Amino acid sequence: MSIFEYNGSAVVAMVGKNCFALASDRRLGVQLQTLATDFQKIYKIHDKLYVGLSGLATDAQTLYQRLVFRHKLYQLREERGIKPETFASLVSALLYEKRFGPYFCQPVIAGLGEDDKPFICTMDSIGAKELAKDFVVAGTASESLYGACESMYKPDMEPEELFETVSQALLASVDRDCLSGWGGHVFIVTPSQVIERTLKARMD
Amino acid sequence: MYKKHETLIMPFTIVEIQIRNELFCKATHKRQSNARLFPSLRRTHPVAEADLLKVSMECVFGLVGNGFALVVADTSAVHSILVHKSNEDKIMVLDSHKLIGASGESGDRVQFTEYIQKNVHLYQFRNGIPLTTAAAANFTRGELATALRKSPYFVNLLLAGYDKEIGPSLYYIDYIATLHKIEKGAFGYGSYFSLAMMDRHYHPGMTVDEAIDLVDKCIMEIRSRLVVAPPNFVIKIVDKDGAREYAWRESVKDVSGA
Amino acid sequence: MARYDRAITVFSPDGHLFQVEYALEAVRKGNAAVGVRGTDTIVLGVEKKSTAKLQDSRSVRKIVNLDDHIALACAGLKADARVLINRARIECQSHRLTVEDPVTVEYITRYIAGLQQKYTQSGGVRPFGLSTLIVGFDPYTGVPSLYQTDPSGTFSAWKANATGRNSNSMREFLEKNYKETSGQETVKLAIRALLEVVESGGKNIEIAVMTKEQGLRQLDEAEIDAIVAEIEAEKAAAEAAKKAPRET
Repeated sequence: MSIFEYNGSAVVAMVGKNCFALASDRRLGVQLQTLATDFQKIYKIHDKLYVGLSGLATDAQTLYQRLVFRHKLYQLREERGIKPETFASLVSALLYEKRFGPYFCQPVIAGLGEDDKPFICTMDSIGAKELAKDFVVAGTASESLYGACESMYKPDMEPEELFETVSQALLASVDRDCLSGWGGHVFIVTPSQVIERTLKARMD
Repeated sequence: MYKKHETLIMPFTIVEIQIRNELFCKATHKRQSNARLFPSLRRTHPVAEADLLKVSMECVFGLVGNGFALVVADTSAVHSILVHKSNEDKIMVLDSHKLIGASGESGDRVQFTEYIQKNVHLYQFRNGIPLTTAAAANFTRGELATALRKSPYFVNLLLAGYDKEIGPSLYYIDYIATLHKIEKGAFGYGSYFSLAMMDRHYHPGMTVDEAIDLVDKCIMEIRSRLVVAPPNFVIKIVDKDGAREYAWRESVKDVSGA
Repeated sequence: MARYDRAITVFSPDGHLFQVEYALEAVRKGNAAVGVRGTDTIVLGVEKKSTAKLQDSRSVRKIVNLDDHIALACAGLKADARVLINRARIECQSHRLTVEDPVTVEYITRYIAGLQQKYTQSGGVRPFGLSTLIVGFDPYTGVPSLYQTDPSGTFSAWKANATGRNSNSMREFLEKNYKETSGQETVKLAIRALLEVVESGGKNIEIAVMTKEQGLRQLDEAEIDAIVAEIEAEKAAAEAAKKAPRET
């Protein structure tokens, strides 16, 4: 068993028209044992920037704390929120700092950048960025997420359609993965509002 | 770059905080540099895969009820096939309104919980107010997380507490420093049975009597289904009146008489 | 030109460490503090600087707990005190962690005095401008004790002692009036000593009483005022008694 599969997770980000969606499952497990079904994997950095952390839960928590810390310093120094592109570089740098003893995490970064242009990206546990125009996936359900997103994604979806698509893709994918699921958590971020919804799902 | 918040020193009692950090660096330096030189040694990384398969034979579980939280732990001190003691108290009263039930390597367990307890006390002396349960849980997680990449403690913790404004709460913290606020939780081989039992019979807002009933069901299930079941258990409770021992469930008297 | 007072680690030709002596001077200019040891209670009292009208007087504490069974009062630089107190508190918990037992009063006094001494002998530092009174009950025997430390790092045990501004007149008073006391009598003796040099009233003094059972308890202003009134009434009665025979 890989260490990335210890707690189980599924995270997906998708781009719509002037908006993006970031969704995750809610399970916290220790291998095959489920401990909780209300575990948070998506964190807010600022109003238009969110990060989903898949992989080992403890490292996700540590990494999140460090990211918040660094972002607050950035905000104090620059007197503005960080751009998604810059933030991705920051995450990448923090991860590569631990090249020989990495955080066992695969982050997904999604935000609205300049002119509210959606930005999504994922990276491996040592910070190699992977940018995409349509969708990115991470976690134990990533293989099935790829399949689901590949067949469901259309460019330029409006927020509500995007929500429907990303939710269906997530729910379909986690059903084929033992280590993730037990509910979903979806964020739809548009320039003017953020919609946060929790999804009911199969609980078995 | 950033000064680490100064806390109690462990396990050295040395005046200068810096000295301890140096000692730690020296102790861990070797391991890190080895790993860098010989990639194959990376398997000895503290969070290596074999490490994650640790499940202890102990049974620690807890739940939150209406105005209280309780923690239950077995009281056996076991090494390989030997039972050294059957009245070992594994639930520490952290401060007036906090309990910490711990399982894992016995040396780590005692050392680490005492270390946390002393720091919680120190905080109280410095600031004149106690830490909230959430703060204590996050502090504990922080200490475990830093230790994880140096010399990890093998301890799994359930932290129960009562705060005036918040009410009772229970936190799950495992030895790799995963923190989660829960209503019910368990560690060790006993968790397979107690978690199932609690999934079936737990409901929010249980009374003390209902909760103790459920605890007894869990203990009975562990005793009847687990081949290495420990004989004795201790139950502790925390509510608005403080943290205290509630009852023992003993089926064997301790042989050592200690 | 000889500048023996620049580096504290340098003696002057006649054997003085000037910086240490200046630190002692800072203590002499600091607020008055007094400690009295009774049989079952120990009392610490300090003079409170008059607080500004809008200041919250509770935010300035000069008597503090080091551990459940040990308290400390100090005279001198308050900023230095925080450092010393912090270090002592860490040591108290550290001691419990390593040997499982609480510290004795003598042990923590020796630790604090040792720390103060270190700052008279190392380079690049200045001494603590502090004299402390440390009280507590021995956790094993229950014997009460009172210790004093000063900037040079010496410490000594006392039945009753004072430090800070006008400490000499307080010490003289205590020497004249000291009796083995207990309970409220000990509190009264401490307040009487303090009143020698401080304006009367609960606004100007801070009193903490330590008992074996209850640990440290800070008296509130009303309580102190009541005792002060009692003392003043006694004084007036004694005065009257002295005068009365002469008049008749």
